[in-house]
Amino acid sequence: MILARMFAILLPALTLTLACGCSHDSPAATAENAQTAAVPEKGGAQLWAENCSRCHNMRPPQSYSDAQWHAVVHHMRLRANLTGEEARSITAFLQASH
Amino acid sequence: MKAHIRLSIAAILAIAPLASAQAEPTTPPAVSRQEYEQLLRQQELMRQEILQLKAERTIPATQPATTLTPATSPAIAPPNAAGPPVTQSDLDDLDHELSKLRDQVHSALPGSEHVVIAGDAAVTFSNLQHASSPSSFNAIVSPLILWEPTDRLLVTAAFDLVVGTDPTGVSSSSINLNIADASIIVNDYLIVGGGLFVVPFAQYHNHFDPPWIEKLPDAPLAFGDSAIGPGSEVGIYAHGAAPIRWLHAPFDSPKLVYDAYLANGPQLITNDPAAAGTLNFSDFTDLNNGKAVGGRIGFLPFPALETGYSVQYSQASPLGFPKTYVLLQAADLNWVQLCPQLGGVFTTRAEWIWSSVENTTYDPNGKLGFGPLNFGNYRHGGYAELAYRPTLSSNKILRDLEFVFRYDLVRSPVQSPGGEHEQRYEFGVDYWLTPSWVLKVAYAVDKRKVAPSENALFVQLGIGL
Repeated sequence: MILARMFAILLPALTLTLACGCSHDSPAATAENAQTAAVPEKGGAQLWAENCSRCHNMRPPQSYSDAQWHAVVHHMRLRANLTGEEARSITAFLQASH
Repeated sequence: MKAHIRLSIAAILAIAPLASAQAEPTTPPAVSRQEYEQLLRQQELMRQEILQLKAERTIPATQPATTLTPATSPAIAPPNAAGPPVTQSDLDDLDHELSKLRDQVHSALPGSEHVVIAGDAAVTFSNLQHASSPSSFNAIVSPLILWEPTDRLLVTAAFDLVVGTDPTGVSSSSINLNIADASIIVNDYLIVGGGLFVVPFAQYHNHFDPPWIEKLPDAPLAFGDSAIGPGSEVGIYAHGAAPIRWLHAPFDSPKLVYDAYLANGPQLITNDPAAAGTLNFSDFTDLNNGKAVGGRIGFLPFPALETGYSVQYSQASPLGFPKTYVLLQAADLNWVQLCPQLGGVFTTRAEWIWSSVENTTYDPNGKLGFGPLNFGNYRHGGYAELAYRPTLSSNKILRDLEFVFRYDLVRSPVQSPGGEHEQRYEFGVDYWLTPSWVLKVAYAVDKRKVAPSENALFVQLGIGL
């Protein structure tokens, strides 16, 4: 009974997103994906958009200094499940963007 | 059952070292005093050079520049009057270089630049529709302090400063420490740490519970005041993530996430007639020599979707009470998807917890007045949440609105102390004032089997700091 209710909520939501032919891009990364579709390795901007927007709205790069962004992304390696390579790319992008 | 647990833990522990094959590039050493002094000298020389160039711009073209601005250092050559004229662009470049140099010197010094104070805050108004208690405001500020003494070491502290008024009209304030840990980056795929940390059990506490991330004003039942899963615990942990490079389309950058930890674990309540058989996750001390072992395996087939399975096994009874083992399991899903055809972003979150406290006898002698009471406390609960934000709308007000629905439930044996079947349907509308400020209004329809149901109205301002 409970599972049926859970499925009643989840199934329409999941099938809706699949059926509408959505891409796998996160909302903020869509524009950039269009530009970097041919590039195999994702850039820091795309990784930032994809990984941060999975849970919350993104903070502008101007929010912190270079050293502070380093600490924040270090913290987010634990929270957002980033690899070291992803963390370095995101940090470099944020430090270059403010 | 124990064999399965051992297998799960062994798998988690085995994956971490496998994933560490590619070592992280070594970071540059700290700046020495000598290098620091050299940077200071370079900064001073550049400052003098800029002053000299500015002075040149103010003198008549026929007058030699060298006679106006005495060089204070032999290292600076007198400008060549016959050379190209200095332009504003040159000065801007020098200013930029000087600024970068100043930042480098500043960032090399130990000090506040390596400390970040972030966190969140919320003010909530709640009105229980069918209870005799009055409506109430309450507020919470949760500072998060990050200190990065070196590139590999991070010290984290987080605490809640809470003020509120209870249903009897008594106000109170409190400080609750949630995080106090240190973590070290081992390589690209492994971080180890210890202290009071957020347990990687499902996703809610690790990802969603700050009020500017949680889309409704209150937590799901299974993760809120009567939680059946852990939040923070004291112990040690290992965490990592690794790309799965051999998986190709339709996957996009698939990734495996793994966590393992050893902690004090929850406490089994044995002497409270209203709560015997339930678990206390808020007391971080241990009652026995048995520790909680647990972990989580997560899979991201593409960046917008994360699923996971968590497990924790512990001996939770106090010394002097028969050993009682607890098995906690959870499954979680988080999917954020832009749907251009529907003009916005859908967020789907669902988590489910199974809590199993093995069969035991509480108050065996009847001295506490409610025993002997023998039962196994098998509880389960979770939620499914769907949100839609029309981010592609041409109307700004509509673009900043988000519509949320959540169904959540907790079930424990009604014959047990505090047993209840409770479910809620909660509808909410959020208005995003900024990317990290959100105003939420929600109404929860509550249904309980034992206690009276309490529908509730919530209004909350959630702020990310």
